[in-house]
Amino acid sequence: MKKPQHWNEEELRRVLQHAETTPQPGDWAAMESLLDMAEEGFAALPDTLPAPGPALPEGWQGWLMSGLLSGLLLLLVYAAMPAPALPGAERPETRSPQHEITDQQSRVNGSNLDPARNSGQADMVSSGTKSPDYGSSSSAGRHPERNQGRPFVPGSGSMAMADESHPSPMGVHPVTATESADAAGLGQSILRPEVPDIRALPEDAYNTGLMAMSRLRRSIRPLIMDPVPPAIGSLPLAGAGENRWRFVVAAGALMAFSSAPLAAPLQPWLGAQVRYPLHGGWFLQSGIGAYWLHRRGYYGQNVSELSASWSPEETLSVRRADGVLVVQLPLLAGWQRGRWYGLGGAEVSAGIPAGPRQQLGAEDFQSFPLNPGLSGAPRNPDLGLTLGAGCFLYRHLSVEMRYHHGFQVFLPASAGNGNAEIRQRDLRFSLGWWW
Amino acid sequence: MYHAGHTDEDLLRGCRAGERSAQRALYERYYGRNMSLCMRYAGSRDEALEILNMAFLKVFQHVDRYEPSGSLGGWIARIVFNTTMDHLRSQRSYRQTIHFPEYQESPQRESVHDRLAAEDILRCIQTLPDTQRQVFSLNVVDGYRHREIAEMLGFDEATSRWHLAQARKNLKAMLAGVSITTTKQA
Repeated sequence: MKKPQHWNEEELRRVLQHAETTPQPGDWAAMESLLDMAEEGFAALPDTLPAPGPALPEGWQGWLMSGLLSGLLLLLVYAAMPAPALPGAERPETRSPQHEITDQQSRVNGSNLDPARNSGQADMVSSGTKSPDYGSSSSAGRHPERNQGRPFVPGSGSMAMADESHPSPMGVHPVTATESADAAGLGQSILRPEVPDIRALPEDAYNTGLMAMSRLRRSIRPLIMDPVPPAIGSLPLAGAGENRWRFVVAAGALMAFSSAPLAAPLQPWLGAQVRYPLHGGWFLQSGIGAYWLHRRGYYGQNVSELSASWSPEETLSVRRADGVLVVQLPLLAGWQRGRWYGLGGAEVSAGIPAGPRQQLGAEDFQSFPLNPGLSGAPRNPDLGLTLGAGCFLYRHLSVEMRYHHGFQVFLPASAGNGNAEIRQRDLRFSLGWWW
Repeated sequence: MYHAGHTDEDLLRGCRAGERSAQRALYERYYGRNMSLCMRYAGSRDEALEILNMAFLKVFQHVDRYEPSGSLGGWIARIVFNTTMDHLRSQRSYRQTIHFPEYQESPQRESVHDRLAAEDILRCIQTLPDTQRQVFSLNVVDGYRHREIAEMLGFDEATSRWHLAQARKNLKAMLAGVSITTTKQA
């Protein structure tokens, strides 16, 4: 068997670099038909690419990541969701009135973590009707027998303590059940199961007829059965003097779906927004957000005399990433039901070319853009639509996912780099802290 | 009416005015080397012609962006190269799953090895599997490093080196086959 005579790669390279192909008769005709179709509009262009095979679609890694994050989000929400409870349903029949009183007291004070203290507070509770020693901060504790033998009858009590004709020795003033709940710090809890507006219920539905005496507050308040406030969404329009604004600082990740080469498809995202609730669960939200966009590309160095076949000794390709700070100004409207909310609206964004720049493999950087048009400035402003949904894990913490669809080419490509243009199309996952 | 005798500046002026004759003259002037560039990366002449025509369409549509400080040939070659790279990237998503049969038969050419025409070598290169052909052209002909090739084509450096080794091995066998065939026929 005869071996090849030689393998001269330098010769092969020289031949290929200086190779010139002879035009065939139909080549210009094909070019001319392409020009004609381009003049008629690109819709007339045939799909010249071969039909895609059974491989995964382009950008599948991004979709996989978004699916995983969405799943994680749902898992978090599910884990934080309390079991649905009906008012009063958790109270077993076999429990003694003393336990009932202890539980009620613990719920109102929000201190059910200390059984010893709760048991000590139990003796601070007395029947609400004309107890001669109710004004004394320690009389009930000294005379527990006065409470014995009085069965617990929800709703059977009256607001006798609120009667001004029986002034309290300690200056007890009448309070309503709602005020009592607010004073207990539960007025804005949104993680409780949804119940009708407490103010629409008859007094019998929540008044236990018992009174609670607080040494700390030096006051006596009526115990209510289940002081669950209405959800935020069902609250009426903010009244005079009532500050209903809520502020949120959010941070998370932004996943870009641009086909252009980005240094990293996943970028950190920061935002600060303010929400103003309207009637019926609706709200307006606006603020500011920002993230870094890193464009990636190649630069040719010392290729100003570039010809159809350039010499590798004179050409050096360097990797480079330019940073663009993108500032977003959304104006959103949304609707909240319970802990869930959805929002959408317009978002105006602007890009500010800024560092940091990264480059590899070049010492002397005198070049012009080779790919993919990194010298182009962002087209400001970019208008887009934003749609999203979120969930409060508890009062101060929320998780949110948004999709942003920018309409225009935000970062244009240079000639010959059709798919290097960058549009703002991304998914944002964030955690928000609310005040 | 423009023809091959006009200068680049004249042809550019005609292209900016949308003159079809100027476009044809420019196309034919820069066809040879750019077509050979496309053929180094494409799997067939038809595919190479498709890439070249798309690149020239961009040239004609963006001829206003050309800055006379650089050479016109270099500007066109850059657009052709970028279009080729874009084409390769767009093809990679599904070509990775296609099985490429190894080269089995040698091109039936009558030229001897040391007098192989460039088109014969191009034909041999075109018979290589896509990734081997692209890595070979980028590294051996255009001088890109494995790290850069790996970033361009979306795999790691070791894979790039492996494809280059395979390309060299297959190409040697092909070029030897041409010589052997010629010797036997002689």
